[in-house]
Amino acid sequence: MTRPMTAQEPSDATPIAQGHNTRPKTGSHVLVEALEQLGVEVVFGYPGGAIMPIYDALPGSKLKHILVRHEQAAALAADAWGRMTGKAGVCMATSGPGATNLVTGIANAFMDSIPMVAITGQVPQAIMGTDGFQEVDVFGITMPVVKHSVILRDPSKIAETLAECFHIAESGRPGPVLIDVPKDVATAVIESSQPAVRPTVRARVAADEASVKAGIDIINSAKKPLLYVGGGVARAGAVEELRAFAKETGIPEVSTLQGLGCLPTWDDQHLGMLGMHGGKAANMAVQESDLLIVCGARFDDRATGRLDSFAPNARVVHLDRDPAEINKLRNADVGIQGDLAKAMQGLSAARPEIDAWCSHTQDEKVTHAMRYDAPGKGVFAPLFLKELSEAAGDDFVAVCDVGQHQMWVAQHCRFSRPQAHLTSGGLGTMGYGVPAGVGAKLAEPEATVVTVTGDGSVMMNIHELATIRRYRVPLKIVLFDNSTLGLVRQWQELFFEENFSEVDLFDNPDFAELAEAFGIEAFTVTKRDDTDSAIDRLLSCNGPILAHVRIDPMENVWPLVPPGRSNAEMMEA
Amino acid sequence: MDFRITIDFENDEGAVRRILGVIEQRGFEIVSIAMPGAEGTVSMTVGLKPRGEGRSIEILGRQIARLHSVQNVQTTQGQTEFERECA
Repeated sequence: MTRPMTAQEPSDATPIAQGHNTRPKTGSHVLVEALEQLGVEVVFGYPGGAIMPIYDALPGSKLKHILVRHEQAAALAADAWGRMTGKAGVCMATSGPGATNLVTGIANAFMDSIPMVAITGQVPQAIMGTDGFQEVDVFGITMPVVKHSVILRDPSKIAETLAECFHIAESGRPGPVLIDVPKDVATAVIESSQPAVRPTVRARVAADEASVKAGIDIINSAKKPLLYVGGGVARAGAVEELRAFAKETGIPEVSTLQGLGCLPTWDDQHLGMLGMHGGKAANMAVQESDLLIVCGARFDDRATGRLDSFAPNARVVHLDRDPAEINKLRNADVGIQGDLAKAMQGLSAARPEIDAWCSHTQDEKVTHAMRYDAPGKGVFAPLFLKELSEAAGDDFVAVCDVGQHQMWVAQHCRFSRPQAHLTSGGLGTMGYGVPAGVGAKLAEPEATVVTVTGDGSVMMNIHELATIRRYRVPLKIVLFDNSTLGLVRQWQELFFEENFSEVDLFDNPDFAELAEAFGIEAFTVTKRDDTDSAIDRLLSCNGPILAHVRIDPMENVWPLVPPGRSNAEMMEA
Repeated sequence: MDFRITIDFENDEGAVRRILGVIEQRGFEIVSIAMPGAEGTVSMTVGLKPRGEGRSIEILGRQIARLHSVQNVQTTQGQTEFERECA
């Protein structure tokens, strides 16, 4: 039984004008105007002391403010907005603990190269450096996890600074930018201000012609070439060019966690995800290949396993817009730095003769296809996810939390595009799923957005059920409950001699009852036979809904490459 | 093996801290710093040595070069061109 909405509860995020225009225009008004001028629609945030002047300027603006229940959720929702739209997601919080609560979300965006602008209130400049109340050096704290940051010290440069920060966040290799706003700047009376205008967008930097020519030559000479696709392809807006290149050349593809969906997962050429929980066909293709064409990927250790035995027979063509990624972990025989889309277009002239290789990889894909014939009558999460994503079709967007369920989503779901799979890859942030689901659904209301979470992860941002309720975000949540921290338990079982330490979550609440207490429709699934009806109920619900799905605590994620081992040494069930 | 890296950059607030942070976080020990006092564009030369094997001064130069305030990076193994993302 869900709690009915009362008349007093807000049904819309748009604030009500409070007659603030009788007061003088301040730095906060200029900041809010600048956000509007830069095309910002939604801001995720939480008010507090030092940022109160900015919140004072919000009522009557065109901005839709989403009041989260913890600042981390604001940053994670903004991250999801950035992933879905390619535009900077915006979050804001007050100084001190508000600012530090944003840090995980900012770091999450940094690790996965997501455009974001984080705005923090700060104590007045005269107080900065004196250990004032709720003063913290968030500018310094976030320095390693931002693309750029500024302390906005000059009220006359607010619009100009914001425009530049949005440009930095969204251009080149995207990333988060922090703007720390001292209270005296926010309250400064502004006589006149210029509108916020983005810097001129520079033409895409074409890849060096000689490098592209060298890339074509090396591809044409290869007998077993393989595309290794990462998240950089989607960030660079090069998905169509990648797909065209794959079709023109016929070269098979493997994907990182972030690269899933660049080629549709049902495409014959897509062999699967590589790496620690990658598919056997994908990992074996990497090990057998004689040429890796690395597109927007960074040889992350979860993808490569033991680096010195990764793709031992392969030469490397590495395409990346960030020159710092080329030769960072694996030397490239040909490095192509610049715009990925243009580079892919250039390489499409290659015509390798690889029929035997393609046939072999297809055979391996069939031989090592994932299996769904698990024993028992309990819900089998991989099958549940496969059927859910197939039923949802091309509108499906999975927003994962972190753990076993995250890997099952990557292995078993059907993705038509990279935006169909939002996951905390680099940082691995438990608690990402629910707030990011909110951000994704608000960014793309027509999509069938499903947060897939676990009983460990969901508790890290469970309060965001209140945000879902408040704004009636029609997010669907699938919560796999094995009453344990499943992936840690799995590692303790396999690599720590079954010394199970602090992974038992026997005292979880009843998640369906908990969701209902937040005013969200919920139900519990315990039997495999109920999978179809559960999926039907999820997909037919027009409002927010949570499916609490109990699964076997001993279920593991397979295959698995043990840590520190070669991808050729896969463990299987 | 010791290296030397010279960085030309706009001395915006936090720029020095940001550059030195990248050097240390990316696995290098700072052994000397020389930065003639100046406003606006300044040049800083840092002596450093890698912590352990597998640390490339060339890659470090590129990682510093992508900082927004940095205009040019020159290492003992050559120059890294920097292209500002903002026009």
